Amino acid sequence: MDWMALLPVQILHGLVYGAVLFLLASGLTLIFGMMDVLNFAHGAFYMLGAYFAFSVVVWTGQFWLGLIFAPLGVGLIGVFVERVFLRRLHGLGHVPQLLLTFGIAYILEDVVKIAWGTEPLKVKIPAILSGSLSLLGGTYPTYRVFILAVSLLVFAFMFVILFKTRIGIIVRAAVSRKEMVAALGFNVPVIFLLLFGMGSWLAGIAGVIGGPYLITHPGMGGAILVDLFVVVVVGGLGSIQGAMLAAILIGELQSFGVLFLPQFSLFLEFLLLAAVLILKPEGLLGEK
Amino acid sequence: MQDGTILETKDLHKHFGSLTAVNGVSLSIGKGKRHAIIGPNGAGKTTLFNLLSGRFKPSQGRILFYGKDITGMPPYRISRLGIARSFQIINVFPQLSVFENVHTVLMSKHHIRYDFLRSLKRWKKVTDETVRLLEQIGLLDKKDVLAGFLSYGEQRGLEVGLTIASDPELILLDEPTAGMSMDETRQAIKLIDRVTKGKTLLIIEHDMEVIFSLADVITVMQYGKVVTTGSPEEIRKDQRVREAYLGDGKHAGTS
Amino acid sequence: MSRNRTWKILFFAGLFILLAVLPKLVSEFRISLVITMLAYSLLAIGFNILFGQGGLLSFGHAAYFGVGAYTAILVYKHLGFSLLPGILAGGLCGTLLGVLFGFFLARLRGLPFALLSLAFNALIYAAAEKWRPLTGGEDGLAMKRPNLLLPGIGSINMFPTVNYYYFVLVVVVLCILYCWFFTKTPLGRVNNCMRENEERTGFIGYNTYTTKFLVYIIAAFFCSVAGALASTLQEFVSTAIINLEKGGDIVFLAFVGGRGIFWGPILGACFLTYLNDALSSLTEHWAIIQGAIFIALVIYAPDGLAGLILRTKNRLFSRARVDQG
Repeated sequence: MDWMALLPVQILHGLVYGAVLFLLASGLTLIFGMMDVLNFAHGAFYMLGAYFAFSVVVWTGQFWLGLIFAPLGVGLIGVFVERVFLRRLHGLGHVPQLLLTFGIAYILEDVVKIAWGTEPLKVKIPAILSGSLSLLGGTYPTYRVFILAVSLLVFAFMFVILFKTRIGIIVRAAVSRKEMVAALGFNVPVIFLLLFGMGSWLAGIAGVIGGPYLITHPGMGGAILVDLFVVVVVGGLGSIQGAMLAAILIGELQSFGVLFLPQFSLFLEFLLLAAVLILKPEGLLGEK
Repeated sequence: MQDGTILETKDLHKHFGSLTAVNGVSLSIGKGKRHAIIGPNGAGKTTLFNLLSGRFKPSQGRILFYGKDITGMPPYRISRLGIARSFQIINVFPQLSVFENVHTVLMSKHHIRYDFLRSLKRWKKVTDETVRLLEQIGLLDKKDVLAGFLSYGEQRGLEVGLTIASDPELILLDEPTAGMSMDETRQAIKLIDRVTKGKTLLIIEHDMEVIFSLADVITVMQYGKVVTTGSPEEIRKDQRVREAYLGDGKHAGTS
Repeated sequence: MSRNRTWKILFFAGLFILLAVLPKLVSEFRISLVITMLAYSLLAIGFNILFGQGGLLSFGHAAYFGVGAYTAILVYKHLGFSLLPGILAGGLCGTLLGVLFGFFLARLRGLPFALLSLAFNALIYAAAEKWRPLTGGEDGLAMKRPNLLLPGIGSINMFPTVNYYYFVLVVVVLCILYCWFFTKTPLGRVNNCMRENEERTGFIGYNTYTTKFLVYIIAAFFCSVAGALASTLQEFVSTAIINLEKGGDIVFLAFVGGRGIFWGPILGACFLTYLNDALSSLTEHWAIIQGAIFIALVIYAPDGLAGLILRTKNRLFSRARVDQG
């Protein structure tokens, strides 16, 4: 077998999966870094994004509408969850939050089963995206390149907002000096609400573009959750750059692991997680 | 290492990223002495305690206890060697009773730690010792109260109790009278005097009354360094100290 | 105080009698349900040693339940073990795995602990799925319940559910009695201290790593035994019992019952098992109800059902005392 020819494609595979992981992880790490909340329901939000998109496509026939509205729907649900449930648990530590968001994930998964059934769904992607591109001497599915493009766009977008705009500065300040920012007249609870909504929105986007690639089914949240948590922890809770680095790492680990050591890719991932948690618990690029 | 020195630090440093909290501290603590450490906030006093008790590892330097190098040892090992510390922010076991709080320290002292096959009641002498200790710190009548429900002054008393229960040779007290009223402070001074008799005491304090009633030796710290060490009289007169800390006639403030 | 004791003695005597004659009172299917409740009670109690008493949240304990379950079935099937050795083998294998993973986990606490335990659970699940020849994957393994061999008495047929019920009753009661005793041992006390203030526990002379490691293994043992008992009841095991949801279920059991009170998890296990059974005949979507109960408890009654009961009891009795003037 010609390994050299396969190599670029494998690397691309890893990047694509890493891209979906990054979209998810960026939302989660944003929420955690900014609000000190670990959202166990993030995988469920991802799932909702995929399912909402499916329905929008079924109703309107337009994938692009799905891409716009499904994440918004998920964002709204995120806002609802924060306002109604999570807000009551602020300052009580991680355990109640974990338990609560776990309960929500539990419910959402069953809701999806009721509304859409338990069978995997096929989401119709537009014609433009369903062909192949000639890339690196071979052909590669266009849709996967699309995934890469979207996540790069999101990364750039978030970087600009968080570091170059006034809103971003306020948000980052709200995290480190909550009382000060409140004293200056900014509405901290609203900022947190918007943050959680935005994180959920990102999960929704990941679901919309990831669903057609990674299969839309009720267990998809749970399936990606472990990889997601590994990415966030290894990258550093609260670090967007770390999430990107770790997402690429885990993506490639899965891609090559599946090829060479199918039994061991998860085992390696676990070792990586254990190593990071024990040696550098703040993650590769995390602070503290 | 001189005779009569129980603890010695050699050029201790502690960096937190770009912040240097302890910047070359070399101290000698005399056995049986009551040694106070004073200085403005941010001088590195608590960090020094954290280094001595094993909470942090020094970035540089050595710590010697009776000549034995204890640099970088984990807290439980240092505790077992005979160094105990109290905390500035009360650090008890809130949902355990006062009795259980103290009893647990005594268990460790008697090397009863990980047994999961025998009942606690078996060791009657530990129970008796707990009762005696509670009497010493004046909390015997509250022995079944959950520690979280004690008054602030009582919790501070328990905090000291937990520290001395293991019968340590070297006791580190970190601002034991913080937040106390004048009366409470006087009571605390009496308590500390009583329970640290015959031991070596290293105490961080801001309250001048406490310091001058208890201390034999005073070390002044600022900016992570030792400014000077001397008897209370010497310190009182030292111009550098006045400028740096006492502020020329003003009393030392708290946080 | 002696009035309190009299009540307690009466209560336990009554409970004991009830449990002893239960098979006469209910149908065989119901007995099966009670056995399930017993197994899950043990699971919840074992888990709570780590969670409620030690303050360590683990999402990975489904793995021990699963390992215990699989080991039992496998040793019956391939090694011809009889009942008691099978259950013990389940407990032993679980404990060995606990040693392996506890080695890593004992260094951690809080969020990192929870996440690593989650990853570990996923690992075991993936391993169980991959080794299909051994585990039968999703299809699972089936094996008839073996006899109980007692020295001096001979072989007791476990096919009748009633017989198995008595076996499980004895095993579970003994285990739970030990777990109660555990809370009164030195390690049990230090475990509580760790929950309250891990740092201080270190400063008063305890090696916190050793403590967590030992507690973790003990919890793993009881969870595996529970798993072995459960799979032996069903005469079947599959990977469905190890997945994430199961890991969450275990937390539910302890939390819903009340993790701060010793018998809370027993209450949670019995209540949820009963609810699951009752509701699953009404609706497939019983998970939503369970999730809703859970969320309501997290927000309004974090001390669980046991906490609610105790608070209500206190309120009732203090009112009575006030009335008596």
